[in-house]
Amino acid sequence: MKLSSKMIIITMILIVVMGLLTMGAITTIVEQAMTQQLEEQGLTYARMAADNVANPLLDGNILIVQRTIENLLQTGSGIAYVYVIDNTGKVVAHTFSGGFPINLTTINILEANQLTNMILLNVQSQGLIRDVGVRILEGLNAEVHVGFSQNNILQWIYNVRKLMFNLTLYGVLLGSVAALILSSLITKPLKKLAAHALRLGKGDLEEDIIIRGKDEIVELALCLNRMRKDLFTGMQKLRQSEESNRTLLEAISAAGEGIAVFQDNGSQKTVMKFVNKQYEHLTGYTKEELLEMGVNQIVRPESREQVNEVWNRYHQGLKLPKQIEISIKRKDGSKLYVEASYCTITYEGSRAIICINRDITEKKKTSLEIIRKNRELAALNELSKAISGRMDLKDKLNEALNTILQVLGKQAGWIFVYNQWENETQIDLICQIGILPEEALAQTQEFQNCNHFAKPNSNSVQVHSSLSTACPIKRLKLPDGTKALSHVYAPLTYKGRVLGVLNIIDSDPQSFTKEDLNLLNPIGLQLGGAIENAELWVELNKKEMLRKQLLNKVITAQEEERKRIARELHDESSQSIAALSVGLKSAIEIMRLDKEYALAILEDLKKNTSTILKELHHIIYDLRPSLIDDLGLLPALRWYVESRLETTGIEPQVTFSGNPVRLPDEVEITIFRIVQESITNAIKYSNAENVYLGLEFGHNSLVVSVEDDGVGFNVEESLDQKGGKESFGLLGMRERAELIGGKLDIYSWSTRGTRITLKLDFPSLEEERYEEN
Amino acid sequence: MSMNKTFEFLQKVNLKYSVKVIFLFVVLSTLLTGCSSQAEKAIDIDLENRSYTEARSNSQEVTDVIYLGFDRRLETKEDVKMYVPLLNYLEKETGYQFKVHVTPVNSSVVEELGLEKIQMAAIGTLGYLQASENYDAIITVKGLNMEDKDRYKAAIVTRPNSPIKTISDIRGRSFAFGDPASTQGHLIPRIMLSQKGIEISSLKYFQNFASHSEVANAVMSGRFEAGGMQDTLAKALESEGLLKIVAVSEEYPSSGIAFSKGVHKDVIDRITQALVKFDPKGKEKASLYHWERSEMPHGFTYANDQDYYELRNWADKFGLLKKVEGEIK
Repeated sequence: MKLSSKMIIITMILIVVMGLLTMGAITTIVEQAMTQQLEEQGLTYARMAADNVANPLLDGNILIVQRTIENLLQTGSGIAYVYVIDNTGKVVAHTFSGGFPINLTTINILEANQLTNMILLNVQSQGLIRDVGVRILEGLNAEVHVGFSQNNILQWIYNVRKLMFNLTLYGVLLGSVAALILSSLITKPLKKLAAHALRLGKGDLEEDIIIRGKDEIVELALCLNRMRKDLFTGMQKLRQSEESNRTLLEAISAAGEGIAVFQDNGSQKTVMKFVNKQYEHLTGYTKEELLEMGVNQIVRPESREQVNEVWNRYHQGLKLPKQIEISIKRKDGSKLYVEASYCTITYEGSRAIICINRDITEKKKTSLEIIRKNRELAALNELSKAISGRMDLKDKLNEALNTILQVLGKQAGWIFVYNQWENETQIDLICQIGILPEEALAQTQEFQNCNHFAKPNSNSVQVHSSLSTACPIKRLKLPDGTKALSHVYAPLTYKGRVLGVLNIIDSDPQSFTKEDLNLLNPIGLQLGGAIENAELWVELNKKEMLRKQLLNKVITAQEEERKRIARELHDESSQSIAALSVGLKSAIEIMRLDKEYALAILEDLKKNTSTILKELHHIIYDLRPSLIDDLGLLPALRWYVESRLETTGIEPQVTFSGNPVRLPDEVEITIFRIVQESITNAIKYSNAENVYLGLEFGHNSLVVSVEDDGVGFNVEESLDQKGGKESFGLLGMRERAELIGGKLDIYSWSTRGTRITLKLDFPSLEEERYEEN
Repeated sequence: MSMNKTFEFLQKVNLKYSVKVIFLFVVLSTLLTGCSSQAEKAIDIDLENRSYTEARSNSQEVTDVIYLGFDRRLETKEDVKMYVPLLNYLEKETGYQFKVHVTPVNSSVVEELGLEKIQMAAIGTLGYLQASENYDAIITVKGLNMEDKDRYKAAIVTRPNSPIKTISDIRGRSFAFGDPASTQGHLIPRIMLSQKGIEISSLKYFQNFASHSEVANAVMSGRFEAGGMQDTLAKALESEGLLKIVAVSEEYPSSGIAFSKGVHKDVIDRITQALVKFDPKGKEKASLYHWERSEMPHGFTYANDQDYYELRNWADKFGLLKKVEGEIK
């Protein structure tokens, strides 16, 4: 359709529409205004009528009421009828002749609290009539109704519509003529412009169009001329650019980098349109194979997201990333890492992406190896931190397990250790994460019996991954609800001994890589060392505790010995010396009177003096038997037993057998003290008649036994009385024996007395034998 | 453009333009419909179909409504306007439904109270005595005047230059009374005359007028030498020099609200309480219509039959308690 026809049609439509809209609006406004005026007029008339008829109606003067409404009908303009209803609803006066219209009273009924109401009636013979009902007085039922004709309003509206229709018709005619003139003014130069644009489209960019004037069409012509110039310049630049691109590609190829040009092939697929020799060499494909090959065919799956992002940005017109590292699939299936640079070019007249690829496979492998090593080092470092604290073994292993799971990116695992108990190997679950303790324990007991677990108790890391549903790991579930499908067994070893096992489970059967297993090896060694250290630490603590107890006992024994010496010096020696002193004093006084008697006293005192000396000798001997130093252990023991039991009524029986040798001083004095303590105990508690001392020398061994035939005692009870004096004696003997590498056994029966045996092994000594006597 | 040409034109333009044109017409139609007024629906009726017995069928008097009658004091419509706000107040206070009832000119409030056409009435003292005597009507409240008194007085007046100085001077002269049902216009003036030994037979002649105003006019015009009327009106006219007061009566119980015997005691009690609570000078003032023109401008106070003992005797003596067919004269 021609532009002039369009303009005429649009102008006509606009005028018609505006005319119709104006007609509708004016008609509506006129109708509303007149209706409102009629309603107000009707209300005024009706209220006036109500006021006028109120008194006569209430006074029962119906005639006056009738005259009043007849007068209103005659004088009021546009009034069609008037009627009055009294309190009982009866029509008492109206202006109709020949009776009252049936049902007229029931159309406009005032509600109880309503004072006025209006209803529009459509009367066949008179057209529209507005019935205005007014209550004569508030509180009464009586009403006055006045009917007003609305025909005047309809006539007015008809006249307004007629006027508007005529105006619209004239508008259409004038608008059409104006549109015709205007369109011819516009279309003539436009036709010229269209012909020129057609020439430009065919590539004729040589000359400008010339149109005179200053309007928008002239501006359009100038724009076309500018566009022609720009196109002309652009075409020249494009040719130069293509030449430059070609030169650039050749330069890059000379630098040994693979180049590929990708372009959309029209079916939503991006394919290669150009490759250089280096690219063929990198990929292993020939040029023929590469051309029309899709981008996703050459890129490995792990790099497709990166490459797709490049294409998305290309399609959205965004800036492309300068360099990305991607992996591509060579023809022989091997993986090749390249550093790819992308930029947009125009290739063969269309947009394309040029991709310049540099082989970085070696660099990438080195980088990945460094990353792996760093990861392992970091993991071992974290592990070292976890197990180096002063926590107990359970906490350390728990912390270590947590660290290992985090480093490997796994959810669940557990650690158990082997314990030797009464020659049996037991399994102790130490810690678990992401799995219930009972499940971990059950799994620990079951997986080693699984047919798919190659080497139970091996000291190397193993993956236990079975496709069999009977495999016990299949019963385990990970915290995320997935099923465990693979299990790694990492032994915790120390000097070749498997001390425990680190177990890790995962839902992916292939999730444990070679690198993971390599990492778990040193971890197993580190944790094995930690377990061993922990056990040594426990042992050390025990020894330290024993040392402290022993030191306490030595101090206590020293104090006991000092107390005993003090008591004996006080009870015996000091009393005897005091008695000697008194006796000497008495002898001095008697000497003046009776020398004979004094001499006799002095004789007694002399005897007492030798007794005191003997007592002091006993004390001194108890402290350090000099006989050991002078004659050796055996004579010293014999002398001690016989002299100690001499005054007790207990018969000593001393037997030495074997081939006696002199032992180191500390061994001999220890044996002496053990015998001394045993004899003292026998004297004090056994109530025995005989005490037997026996020393049996073997080859590099000695058995010392002290036995009595007394009442015996409860050995365990006595040893358990750790704070008691007796227990100090027994424990002291046992500890002295251990200090010289011996073993002390105590046996006691209530009917057979007590037997204390010291078994001692000693290395070969430069034998110093006892003389025959 | 003919239909054929239009069709050819539409065929020429492609489908795209056709859709646009149709859309444009839809929009225009919507705009035109929106601009035009919502036409009011007219009810069809044939006014030529007529009858002589047309009445609104649902306009029967409602039985559970309490109707109030009243003694006409002013113009009927003014009386109605005055009592409607009081009934609105009672509806609000009691919850009952009230309507004002205008007693036809050929009937009386006393009779309508007796026939229970109305259940309560604003009635004068004499009217109550007649209703009580003949129909066992009950009065529970009486009005308070401008001085807050529940009693009123009457006055005997004459012209300012009249030789009549005392009531005794009226013997043998003409006298204008108010309506025979009026206490201040008829009963009390007769009591005043009787107390001085003057009965209507001792007068030269007398006439009963419908209102106090008409009595005043009759005396001022000289048609009657003396007359009996409401004391307040007499004082007002005397202050203007239009009349002279010969004597003012003692105080008698004022008019009030009476109930027909058929009204339940609980209903009477509830309405009575509301009436006593009614405060025309206070919060109810705004809703009232010229209440100051009523017989109870300051509201109501409790009343009982004992208050009216003396007046009952006088009315009986004058034969004013008798039941008469139609209007009580």
